[in-house]
Amino acid sequence: MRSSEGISGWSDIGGRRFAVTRQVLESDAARCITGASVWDAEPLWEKLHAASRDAGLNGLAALSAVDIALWDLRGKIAGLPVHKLLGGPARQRMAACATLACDGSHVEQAAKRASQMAAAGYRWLRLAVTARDLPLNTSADPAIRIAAAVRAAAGAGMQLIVNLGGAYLPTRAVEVGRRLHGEFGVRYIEDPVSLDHLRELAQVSEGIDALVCAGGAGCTRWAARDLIEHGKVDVIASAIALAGGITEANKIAALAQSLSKPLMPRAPHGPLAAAAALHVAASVLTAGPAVDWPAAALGGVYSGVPEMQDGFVRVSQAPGLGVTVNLDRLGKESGA
Amino acid sequence: MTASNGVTGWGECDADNPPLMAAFVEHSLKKHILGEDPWDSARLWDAMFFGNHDHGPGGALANSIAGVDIALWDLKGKLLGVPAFQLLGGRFRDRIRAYGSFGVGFGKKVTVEQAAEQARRFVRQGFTAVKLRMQIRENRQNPDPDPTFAYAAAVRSAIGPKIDFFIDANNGYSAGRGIEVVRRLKEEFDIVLIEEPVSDQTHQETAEVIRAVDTPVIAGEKEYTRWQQRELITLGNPDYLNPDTIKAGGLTEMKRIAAIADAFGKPIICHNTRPTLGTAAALHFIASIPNCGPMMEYIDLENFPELRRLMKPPLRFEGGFLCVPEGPGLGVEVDEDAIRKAAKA
Repeated sequence: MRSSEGISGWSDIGGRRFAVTRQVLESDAARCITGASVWDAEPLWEKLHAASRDAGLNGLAALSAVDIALWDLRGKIAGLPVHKLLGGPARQRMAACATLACDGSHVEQAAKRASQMAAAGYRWLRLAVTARDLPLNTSADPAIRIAAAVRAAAGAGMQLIVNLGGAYLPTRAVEVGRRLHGEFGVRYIEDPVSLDHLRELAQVSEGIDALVCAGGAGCTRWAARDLIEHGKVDVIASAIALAGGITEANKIAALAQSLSKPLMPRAPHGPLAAAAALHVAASVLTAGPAVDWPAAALGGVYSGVPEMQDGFVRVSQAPGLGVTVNLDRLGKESGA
Repeated sequence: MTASNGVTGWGECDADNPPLMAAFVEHSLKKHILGEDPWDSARLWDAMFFGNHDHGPGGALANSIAGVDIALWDLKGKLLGVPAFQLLGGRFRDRIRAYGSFGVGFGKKVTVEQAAEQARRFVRQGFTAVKLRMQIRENRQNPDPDPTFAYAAAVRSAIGPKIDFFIDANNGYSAGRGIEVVRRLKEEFDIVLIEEPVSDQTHQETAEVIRAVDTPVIAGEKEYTRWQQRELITLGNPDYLNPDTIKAGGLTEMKRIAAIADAFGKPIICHNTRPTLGTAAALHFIASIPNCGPMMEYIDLENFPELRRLMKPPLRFEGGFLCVPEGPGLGVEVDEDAIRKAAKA
């Protein structure tokens, strides 16, 4: 995103159907943004949201990217880090949470990575059980096995979040959730039942002691409201590149906070999105941990990416997002 | 509020009890602000609010924080040379329809004839909507006889059939009686809204009225924080919310309230009874929110000639619309000498 003065703002792009997202960016976004005031965060958000709704989650990915890039641009124009434009930091640093995925076929490898992450200083670990195609209501369910191995490898001091990939029927999710919490001290259970199954989500939330969280697969303020009101979630997960960007994440944070639901910023979509999520979370009273660290710097394409130290990441004090995209490196990495 | 480089920001606290507001600012809020970064306005809001939480979060604390917070936004805009609405998220609109609002003190302060005259004056000034505040309140609940109907008849007759007309019961009814009154006011005087028909302390009663009547209900002038507004929304379910910028914690909290209201599909019709910085701040807020209702509250400036001299340039009110100021910060300069003079008077 480039301003008329030649200042540029950047974002990563979330989602997987990049052809659809690209189409929204090149048609709707170009039409809505070209010539607009860089300060019109909310009017542009509403305009592009209305224009891109029929593209679903991939439209939301385009909208999120535009919004994040505009905030980067605004920060650079004002000479302020984005979190200052959002009202300043409630905290300078936030506990960083590493993410680890396992489908049950290489449990030893997952355990090894967990112990490496513990050694690196992480005190939070998010374990994604990616076994959606298995008949999970049978004894072949790998979730308990994986959790047991990861807990043993990571040690008792590691805070665990387990993402169940929306794989269970609610009664089984309650059974598994109780075991994960009771036997392995899992703090958060994420996406225990299929996306959009709010009744079932509420059933799980009411049935287990671990905090239930959802929203990370994409969510606006309205979806967040329904997750809280009807899904009875305890924690709102927000992947900023699929949650309408900084403008929307900030609104979701206000809503979640008024209902005593902490915001868990997820950032699986790259360093710019990770930095953006951190700027929002830093400005929100009840947020954390910052999930999906470390954010890959991709062989020097990005510089200024916050790094985990002693289990925490610090929000950048540089103007905008504080992450620089090195254009010559970008060409090399993409083979262009 | 003066920054270390000499740039100043101005705010306005709730106007009902100036000495109380001044004491709060001086003794409870100032220590959280001095030496801090104005760009940390949300963090400072939290510091002021949670640092004084024991005073009771839902009253004078939020009312006084409002003034400090508005001054911070004015200051931030002036530091960067941009209007406050830009920092608040951009501009959806550059003007807003205003409705003329006046109170009759339950018929004890203003006669029926005076009320009709006031309503006519609003129409002459260009207002296309008028609100009659009955100011019944809970301590005179379900009055019998009820002066509301005589006042409503006089106002409707004075403004003619084309001007939008609505009534603020100021919490004067129980749900059962409120439903009966609203239906009658709609049928006889074609009201377009009813404001706070029942107590603001029992949101269930608000919900009961809303389920029964087909006139939109507006409420929320006494809910000063995001938590109180959320409670009103989820329990009372009013059609419109009317928080006031100089009462509900200032621009920082109003933006949070707007986000929550929008998530629940509730537009905002700003409560606003001061033609000074409070109105300027409300206009910047209104410019910046997607879920703005069809109008905002304003008053008869002719009743407050001394207040018009406190700010330059004066706010533009044209053809029934208030215009959003354009300059840096709140877009108005305060005449400090005029304020001192007015304060002594």
